[in-house]
Amino acid sequence: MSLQLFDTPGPKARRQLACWNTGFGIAFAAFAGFIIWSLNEAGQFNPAYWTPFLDPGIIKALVRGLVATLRAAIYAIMLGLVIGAILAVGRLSGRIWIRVPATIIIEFFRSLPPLLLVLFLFLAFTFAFGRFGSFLMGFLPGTLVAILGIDQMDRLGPLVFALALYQGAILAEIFRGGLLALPRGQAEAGYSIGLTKGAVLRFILAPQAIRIMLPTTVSELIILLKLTALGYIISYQELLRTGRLITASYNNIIPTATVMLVIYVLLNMAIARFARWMQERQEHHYGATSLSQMNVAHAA
Amino acid sequence: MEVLVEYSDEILHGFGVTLLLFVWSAAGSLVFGTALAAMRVSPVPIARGFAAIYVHITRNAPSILLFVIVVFGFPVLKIQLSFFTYAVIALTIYKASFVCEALRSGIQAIQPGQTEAARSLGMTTGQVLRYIVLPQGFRSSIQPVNNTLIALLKSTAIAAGFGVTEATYQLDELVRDRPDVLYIIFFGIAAGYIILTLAISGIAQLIGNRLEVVR
Repeated sequence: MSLQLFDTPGPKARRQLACWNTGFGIAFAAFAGFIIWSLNEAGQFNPAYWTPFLDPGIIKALVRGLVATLRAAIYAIMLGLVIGAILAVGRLSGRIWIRVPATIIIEFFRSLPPLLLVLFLFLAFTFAFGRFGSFLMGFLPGTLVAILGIDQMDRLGPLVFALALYQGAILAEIFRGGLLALPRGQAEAGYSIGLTKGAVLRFILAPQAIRIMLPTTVSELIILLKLTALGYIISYQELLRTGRLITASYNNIIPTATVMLVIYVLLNMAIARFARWMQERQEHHYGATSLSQMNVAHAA
Repeated sequence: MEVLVEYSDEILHGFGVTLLLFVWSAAGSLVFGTALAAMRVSPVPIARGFAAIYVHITRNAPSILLFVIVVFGFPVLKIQLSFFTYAVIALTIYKASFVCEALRSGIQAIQPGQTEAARSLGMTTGQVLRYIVLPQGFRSSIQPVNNTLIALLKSTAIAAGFGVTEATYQLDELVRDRPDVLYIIFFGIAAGYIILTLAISGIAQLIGNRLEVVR
């Protein structure tokens, strides 16, 4: 913590703090007690609602849902990285007929709600994606089809492409920030030894920028993982949809939602910890960068 | 173009609902988020702990899961409200933690010398907060809070999946009658969101120019 908001408390302040602590403690305990009481009143602690999560069949379904969520997130981040890199380079291009369209595309996809994009691609291309899926299923082995999720292509496709376009536009801005954050002497040195613009980008700027941006990109993965839950609305069988199916047969919405919450929070906290670890390692190697403080507007 | 004119009533109605959702949940999450931020920087350990746990949970959950919890969970607890109110509650629960973190980042950005100087003048904790920390903290959080509000506008679209007839819902609804007009309606609704985003950023810019701390 850089800012010391409070002095070390003296005897009087310590007594005051103890009072506040007790007050807040009682308030939170009352709040928690009220929630537990009303859950109990509604019969939500009935074991019949909770035991399904020990059932091997349900656990298997949940794992399958989790795999579907991760699959969509991984596809979307890979596609989003490619789209983001192309758009970032396009926006930095010296040619106006590349720069202006790239800027328009970035700003367009950045300011749309991801759900609008998902719905649009679903309504427009679900049949095309479905046909492409069954075309691939024609000659791929069954296990590969199941692992890659090709059998659900009609819903996976729109979801992945919508999220990749949205996230790609946001990643493009992160990449551009990374490229611009490098000292100008780097590019100038490249030009002075006679490298072309493309070569400077490829051999000098990109390798350094990628290193700076890596932690930010990993934390973007958290946002993407949360966004895959939008697949719920077009009934892609991801984690949340699987949970909804469980509630349909056991009528246990609150226990199921609790389990979902725990899974998502643990998963995302693990990714966040990984990103922080990368950040710290990098600051250790290269010194702190201002990039970690970059603010990128995004919805999730 | 004439398609957009033909359906302008539905689309405008949709954006009216979107705007209402946005205004209510922005107000809710600003109030609740400020309270959370105050708890997070307070010297009271229990309040800090509660706020930290709240922020960690809601920031890492998908917003749509919070919609599911509120829309399907509240009726189980015998809390019957309209879909619109449910959506406002879900959005407020979700976005309050982002507002909290935005405000906290603003407070953290203050130079330590500022509070040290204030204390060396003999100001009490309350005075330090009132005259030194909060005025600067609020001003330097204008941009992060603006980003949070734009994200909130985009999140209001999720209410479409939970019975609220806002702008994104209209895409699904109108295309059901006329599949041939999908593209034009999509671009019409997209343009509406872009206009709203620009308007919110513009207002934040105006406030920012007035108040931003010059360093």
